[in-house]
Amino acid sequence: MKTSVTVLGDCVLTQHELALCQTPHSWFNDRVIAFSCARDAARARSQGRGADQTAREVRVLDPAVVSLIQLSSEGADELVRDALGACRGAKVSLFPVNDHSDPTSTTEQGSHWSLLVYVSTEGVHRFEHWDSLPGVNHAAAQRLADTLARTLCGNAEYSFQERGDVPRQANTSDCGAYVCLAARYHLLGPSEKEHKRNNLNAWISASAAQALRRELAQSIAKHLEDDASRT
Amino acid sequence: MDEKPAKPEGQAKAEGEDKQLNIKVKDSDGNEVQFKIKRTTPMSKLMSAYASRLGVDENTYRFNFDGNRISPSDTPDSLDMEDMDCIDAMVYQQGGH
Repeated sequence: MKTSVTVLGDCVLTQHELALCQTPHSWFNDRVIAFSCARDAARARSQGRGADQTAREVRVLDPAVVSLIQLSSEGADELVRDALGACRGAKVSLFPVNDHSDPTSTTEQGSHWSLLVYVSTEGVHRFEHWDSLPGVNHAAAQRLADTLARTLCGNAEYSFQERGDVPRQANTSDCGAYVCLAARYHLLGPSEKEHKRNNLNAWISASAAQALRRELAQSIAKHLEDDASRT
Repeated sequence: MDEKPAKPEGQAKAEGEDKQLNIKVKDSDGNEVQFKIKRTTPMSKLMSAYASRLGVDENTYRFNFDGNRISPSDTPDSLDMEDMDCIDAMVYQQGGH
């Protein structure tokens, strides 16, 4: 049986990612988050949002690329510029943030995910941190925002704030799912003007996280099966 | 510097149009490993060669080139790579709480 399949451009999925979505309380890895976001971005495009509707253009960076930016040394701004090429011209850019502290360890890969949102409108640069466990990823997100700002904002001023009304995860395993749901809210949810707190709770919740796990598991299983039947 | 080639399967005719490239893989510690790879060889070969060199599972590392994620089906040609280009290898990440 084939063990891995590449879908939606560069999302790699294996039996391991399937197991992460199927098994209750298992932690999401970067591949699951990349897949969920790429899927929703494709849906947003097919609904006519995105490139030709510049007002709502939202881009999501792959977590593996975000980690490259997080861990690049100061002075590696050229690399950051390359990595951020995908965000150029976007009004909203989404960065899944992981808290892993030792990039050289192959046994310690982080324990928490959150979402850093960068909004650029009419010369105002704003970073907003969506964390389903407020405070846990503050330092990692602030550091990432400072690194990104050198490229995204140039010498202009920028603000960083913790988003206070992000629904809180109800367990110690759903942060990755909450990041996917927060990304979905930006890609497919109501515009900022329509935003209301009730909206947020409808999109990001424990039951939505459960539904997302089911949905991703089904989709990954199908991709793996389709691929196996082709080969 | 380590210069053992990746040696993908069926790589007999290495000269001519199918000239090999030297591609470096750098981890976040700055350690570099160098591979020889044909322009048309899928990057999956290099990825698994790198993991086995380091004695870790194939799914441990994520590979970026010029700030983009590399997929296993990419080739040096499709990525527009040149001799001595460098790939960044990052350890995978997870999180729950």
